[in-house]
Amino acid sequence: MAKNWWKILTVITLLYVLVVGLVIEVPRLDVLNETIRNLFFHVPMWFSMIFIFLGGLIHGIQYLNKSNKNDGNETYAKSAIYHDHRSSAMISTGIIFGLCGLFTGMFWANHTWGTYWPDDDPKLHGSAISLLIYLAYLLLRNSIKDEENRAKISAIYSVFAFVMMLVFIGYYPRTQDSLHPGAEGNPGFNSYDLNNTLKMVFYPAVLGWALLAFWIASIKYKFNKIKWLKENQSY
Amino acid sequence: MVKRKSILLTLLIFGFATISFGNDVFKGMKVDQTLDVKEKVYLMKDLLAKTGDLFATRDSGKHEVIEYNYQLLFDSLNEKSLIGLYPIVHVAFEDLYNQEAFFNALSNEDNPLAIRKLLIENYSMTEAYLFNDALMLRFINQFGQQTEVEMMSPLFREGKIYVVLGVVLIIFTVLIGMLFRLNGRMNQLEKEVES
Repeated sequence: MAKNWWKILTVITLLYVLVVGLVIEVPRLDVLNETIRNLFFHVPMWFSMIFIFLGGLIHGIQYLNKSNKNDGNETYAKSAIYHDHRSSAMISTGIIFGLCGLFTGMFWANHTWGTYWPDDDPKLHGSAISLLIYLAYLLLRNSIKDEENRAKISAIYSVFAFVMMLVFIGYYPRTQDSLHPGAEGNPGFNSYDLNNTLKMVFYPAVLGWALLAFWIASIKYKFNKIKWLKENQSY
Repeated sequence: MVKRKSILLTLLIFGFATISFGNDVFKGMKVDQTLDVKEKVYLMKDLLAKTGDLFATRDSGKHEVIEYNYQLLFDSLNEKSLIGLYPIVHVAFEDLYNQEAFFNALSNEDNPLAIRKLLIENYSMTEAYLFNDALMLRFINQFGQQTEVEMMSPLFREGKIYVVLGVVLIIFTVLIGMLFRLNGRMNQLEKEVES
């Protein structure tokens, strides 16, 4: 139970977000109206995706580091391959959260901007390209049979993918005119457009969804690990 | 089995407790209450100072008109939400900077095309007082809209949101239950395989 405190915290936080996020009084703003509640779901999905992709990147780098230093020690090799399993599990989970972010955004956009996918918004294109880059990670990984090569190429690709994602959803949209906050001519999240009422739910939402992402990734990692241990009984 | 049941029961109890808590505490909270009076005053002073700086170098007559109108604006800000007002303040400041650019371009003798370009882009604001009146009208219009925004969708008005919330909580409880179960099963399998 002591090890599971963060899972309990996830459940409590998400319950709070779901209940309070749906019933709380929100700012009365034209066009947005009740859809402003999407802030508690859409934005934290992207934050969770970025956090979990960052986790995937860190484990990828740790794999590269350990595999380079390995001189035939079995325990060391096992520890390195576990990093690869963690990285892969985190990236798969991140893709799911990215898709959730994309869909929650699309439904919101249809209500407020009048279309599911505005043609001229760079943030939408950037997020779609980032997700495609990460989907290519899965394709690449599944196409390599040799375990060591697969882990090594996946780790290197995860570094490339993370940097590209930061460019496409972090940097590029800010240089262009966009409907999203934080872009040219639009204020970002700050004390003016994220008031205290919204903050009371928004910050726990970021925490809760991010913890859920790490929880799902940990289950996926254990599944990968069990599968690998069964296939490699010699270890 | 008992453990799983107790977890589900705890989740349900917590869910209902949170509903009552959310209903009583948060529902009556207004946006206006999110900023205290002190913060509002500081923010207004900040806005006034910025505007004053911007127009300090202009001729005093226009500056006074703007200051007077801003004073009217700030007087009418009592009981209003600054948060809701921010987008319009943002647009207004953009206009102010455009106006600054207009005056800069006017005094730029090296590049006569600069003023022509700005005149085309900001043809309606070539005179400071026109701009100022437009700014006031925009604020007043925004106040009118602020008070009339209809937020309560039928879902909220008729209390059906609690039915939606109930369904969402049931789905959430089932999913979390499955996640705990999967987690336990994976831990068990992991121990078996490692041993």
